[in-house]
Amino acid sequence: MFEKMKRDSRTTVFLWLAVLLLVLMAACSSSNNENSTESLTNENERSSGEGEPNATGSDDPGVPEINLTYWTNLNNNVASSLQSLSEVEMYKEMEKDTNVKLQFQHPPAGQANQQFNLIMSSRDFADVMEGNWNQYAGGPTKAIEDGVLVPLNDLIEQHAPNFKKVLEDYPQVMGQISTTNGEIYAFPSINVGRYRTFSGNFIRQDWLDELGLNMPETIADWEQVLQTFKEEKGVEAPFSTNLFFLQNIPSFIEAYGVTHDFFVEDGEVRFGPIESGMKQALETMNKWYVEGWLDKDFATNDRKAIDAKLLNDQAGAVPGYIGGSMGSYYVAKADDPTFNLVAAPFPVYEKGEQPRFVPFNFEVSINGQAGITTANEHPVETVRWFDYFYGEEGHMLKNFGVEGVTYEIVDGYPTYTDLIMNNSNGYDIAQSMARYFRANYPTPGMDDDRYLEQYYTLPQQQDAMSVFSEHSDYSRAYRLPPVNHTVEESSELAQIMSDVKTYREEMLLKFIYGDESLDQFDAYVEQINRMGIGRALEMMQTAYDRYTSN
Amino acid sequence: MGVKKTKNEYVFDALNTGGLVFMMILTLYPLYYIAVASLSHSDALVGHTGLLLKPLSFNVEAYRFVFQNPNIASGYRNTMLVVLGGTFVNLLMTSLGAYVLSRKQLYWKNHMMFLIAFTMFFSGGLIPTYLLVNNTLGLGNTLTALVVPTLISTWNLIVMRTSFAAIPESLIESAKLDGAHDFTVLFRIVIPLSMPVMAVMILFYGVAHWNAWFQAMIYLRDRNLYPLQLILREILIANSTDAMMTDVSSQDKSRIGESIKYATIMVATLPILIAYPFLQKYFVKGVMIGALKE
Amino acid sequence: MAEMHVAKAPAQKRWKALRKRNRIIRDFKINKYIYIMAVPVLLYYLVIHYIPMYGAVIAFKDFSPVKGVSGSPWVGWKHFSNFYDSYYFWRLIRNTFLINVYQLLFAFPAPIIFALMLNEISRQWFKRTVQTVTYLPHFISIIVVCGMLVDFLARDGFITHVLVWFGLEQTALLSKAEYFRTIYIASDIWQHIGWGSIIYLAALSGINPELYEASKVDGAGRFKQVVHVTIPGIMPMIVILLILKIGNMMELGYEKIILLYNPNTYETADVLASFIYRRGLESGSEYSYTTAIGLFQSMINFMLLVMANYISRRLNDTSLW
Repeated sequence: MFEKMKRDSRTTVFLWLAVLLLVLMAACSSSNNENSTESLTNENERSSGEGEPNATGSDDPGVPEINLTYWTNLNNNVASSLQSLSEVEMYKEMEKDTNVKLQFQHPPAGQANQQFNLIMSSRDFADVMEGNWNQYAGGPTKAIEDGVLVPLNDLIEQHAPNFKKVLEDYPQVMGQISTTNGEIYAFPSINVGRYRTFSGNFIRQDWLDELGLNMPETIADWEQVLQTFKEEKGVEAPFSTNLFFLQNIPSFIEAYGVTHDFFVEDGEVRFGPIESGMKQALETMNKWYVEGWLDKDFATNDRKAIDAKLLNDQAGAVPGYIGGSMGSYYVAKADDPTFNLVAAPFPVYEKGEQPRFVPFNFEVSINGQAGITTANEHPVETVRWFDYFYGEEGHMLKNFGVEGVTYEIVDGYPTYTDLIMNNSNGYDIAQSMARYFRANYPTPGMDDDRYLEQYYTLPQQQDAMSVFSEHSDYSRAYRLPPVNHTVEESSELAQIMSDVKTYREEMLLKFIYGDESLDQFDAYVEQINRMGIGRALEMMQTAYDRYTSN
Repeated sequence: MGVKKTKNEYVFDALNTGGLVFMMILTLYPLYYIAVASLSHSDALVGHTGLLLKPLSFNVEAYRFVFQNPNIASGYRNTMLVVLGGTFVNLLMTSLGAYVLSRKQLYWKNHMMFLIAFTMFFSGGLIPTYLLVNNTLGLGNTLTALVVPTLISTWNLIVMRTSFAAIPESLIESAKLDGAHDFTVLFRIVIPLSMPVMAVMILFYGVAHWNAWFQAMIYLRDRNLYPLQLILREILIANSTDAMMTDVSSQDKSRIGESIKYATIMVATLPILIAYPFLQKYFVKGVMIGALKE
Repeated sequence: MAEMHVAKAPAQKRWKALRKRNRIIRDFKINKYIYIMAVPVLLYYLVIHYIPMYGAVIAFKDFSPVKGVSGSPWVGWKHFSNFYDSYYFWRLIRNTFLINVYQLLFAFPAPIIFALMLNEISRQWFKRTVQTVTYLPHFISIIVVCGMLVDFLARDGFITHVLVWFGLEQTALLSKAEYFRTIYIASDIWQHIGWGSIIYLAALSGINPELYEASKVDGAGRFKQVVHVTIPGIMPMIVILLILKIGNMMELGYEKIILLYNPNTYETADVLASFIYRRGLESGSEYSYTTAIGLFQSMINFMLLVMANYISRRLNDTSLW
């Protein structure tokens, strides 16, 4: 197949020449793709010198069109019927009313991180990039230092009156969207409303009634309930969950006073997976797994698998969201009048305790942070464009869409029309909302309680709101707020944590499966220590102290 | 083998034939399962475990959903563009390379061969390649980025070269004496004489383009440029955590989801499965050419 | 450079060099069009394959996109030694190696055995049907194959169900590290056995029929014929393909791995390439570190190739170069 090749000296010489040639070529080509940070300062100067054209409502043909590229992940509900955010009504309206034309770029589902990293490695930024900026290697502070993002403080001061007012009204927002140097790096999705807890665990109330059981509160209660479900109802997975929910919606492990990640206790940052509470929690989980009370497939379940189990009466309790899970279960079970799924309070270890960990959104969501990159040639117009959403009109557009089309004002209350609530084309509420505006997933702007009040239509959902958020004030002390790291901290932290997290994830599973005996827990902690968790904790503590002192 | 068979030979034949029949069943059943499941009702499917022999409560609802999905249509269009355009340039470039390397009297031939073969074992890695294609060549977010990095498959180049080399030198020499230069020789003599191998190349390159997804995943940012496989990935491999991070999910997805999955597979695979028997006779011939004249 | 060399050389050598130069010039004149044809091809290889090889120097640097490839500071072998010291080093090597070894042991011989089986069939229509059917899966995309696997191997998937009849516990098979390699290899065989056999069938058809006659005269049965005539007949082909396979050993089809693995199965499934993908793109952006690992992988590949080629040349005179 290959011909005989004589590897004589000529080949080598030729090869070296080729390599030399390449080195030269590459050296020339690589020098022209390095954006320098200077463009950033230039832009600021240039833009502040311009006049103040009305950012909104300028149909004036004299105003030149501004084209911006806008990179962000495409939410599932949009993706199910549209190809891009530009087809969403809210953006069409904006395009009509302003001279800003957006061209959206979206990564494939589940590939947002990969594409984000590639864009950063190639410095081929979109003008606006929305997502989770803490993912930038080195964090937002480094993103500004590297000349990826434009610091927004001055621009906001001069061109964003609405957003400025938000910052004044809610001072806690500032600490959550600025770097360690106090520079604002993005326009965030802000929720300052009453409803800040959207997830928790749900249980079949009809089964509890049928079996004469009380709503479980403690670990022991749950043990009894799940065991009874298994024995009396013959279900395959009394409590079904998956890896994502296990780590993100507090349930049983959290009842032992630890989480999968960092948390705060008495002002001290701790790492849950190495605390002694974790060992006890794993003992319980292992027992439940062996007994079959915990879904044996939890490690490979995706969300659909959990849904299917609950809907087919193969699970009696599941974690999930009030809207996306609970709401959809009631839709799917519409023909089953006995089906009664309710919110269960977050489990505690002993009766009378308060749950330490309640999913509670901070004012600023980690997703939906829109940063303006150094590639943007129109930062002023972009800032004005975003500022619109923090004002009254923009707020309504973002949360309710277009008056007379997607909502009507009834007694001073914006009420969604049937186009949203009972769509005749077969789209459910979440999908129809997604087709017209961005109320139901993190978006630069302010959330509105009135959206949730209409989105959560069932009495069980309303109850769930109060059950889940009952202890959220208590739990606040234990949650690690969205802290920021200095550049040096975050690169070191990232390196330590990427090793630790893979190891943690694997070992926790092994402990739960019983593949690894819990006698090995100390060895496991020792290994994490060797990977440098002590140093990571130190840095988290510094960042936390910095946050609280603000 | 007209000689009468011994008892042992009968046993041998029976076992052998049985084994091959079993293998055919193993190959076909999963595909049959998908076909049948795609025509079943999702609710029935969710409740069912084990083998399927015929559709459960037959319906075509899932196909309706698949064809409604705007991404599937645009995915098809993009994939076709890449398959047609890409395969054409692949063929052109590969035949140029194969012709050069099949010429016997070339002084630099072995050096070129080494330069080319070396790339089969060494590569620069993902990030440097990305930087080159996206930044230096400026092909980010274009369909061209799905074609240019794989203009020539070295393996295919070698197969084609072997086939070209088998064409009698006298034919080429006499054409040259008539004043034809190498381009004419290649396009008028060599390629027409190598139709089987060209057919194989069309198949190899075409299938590779049809199935490719990784490059599309890293280079494309515009959803209406996504090829079909990327859309399939979103539907089939459900590891997208961002779907879990927000309090929204589609309420009817979980209900018809199961059969949609299968219907999507059918829609995306059927064209290739239908085209393939027609091409089969060519590629068998072609692979043999590549292999035998070693 | 060449000038200096020539000046130093004795007269005879100079004469040789001159002749060589003449030859090169003549070659260029005669084959002008061929070299023109070669230009786009070589350009493609230089640009697409060799420039990124230069980019691989970031393995020895702390690559920062801001500073670019040439501006990033040199750090020598830091990333290599970090990798060597990493907790995952041995596991990645082991997994990469083992999956490959199993592939050599099972997936490599499978098409050979299949081809031998087919070769024994005398009814042409049956042979052709088997071929048509078994080539099919080769054309199904990796995405679809993995989607099928995920589905069929779930707790209530049909393959799981069938295996439960044979006494396997009912569980999601892809969540068990101990099954990962089996699944990986078995699905590989399923997909490529027919296709892989084509090349051997071609070689089989080239065996001189007289050899069979001769061995029949010697009283050899069907099985003996296979052992003494058929297998030796296709041996060179087997060896060449084996060498190529070994040369690519460290380079696994990571697409399939990243589509199939999950934290449960990292223990057996995580290989060098998937680790590079995960740490370089997915969860981190450790560009230099992962490029270093990639380079390391290429080195091993190359060494294995040279080794395999050497051994094969010694053993039976078949080699790539």
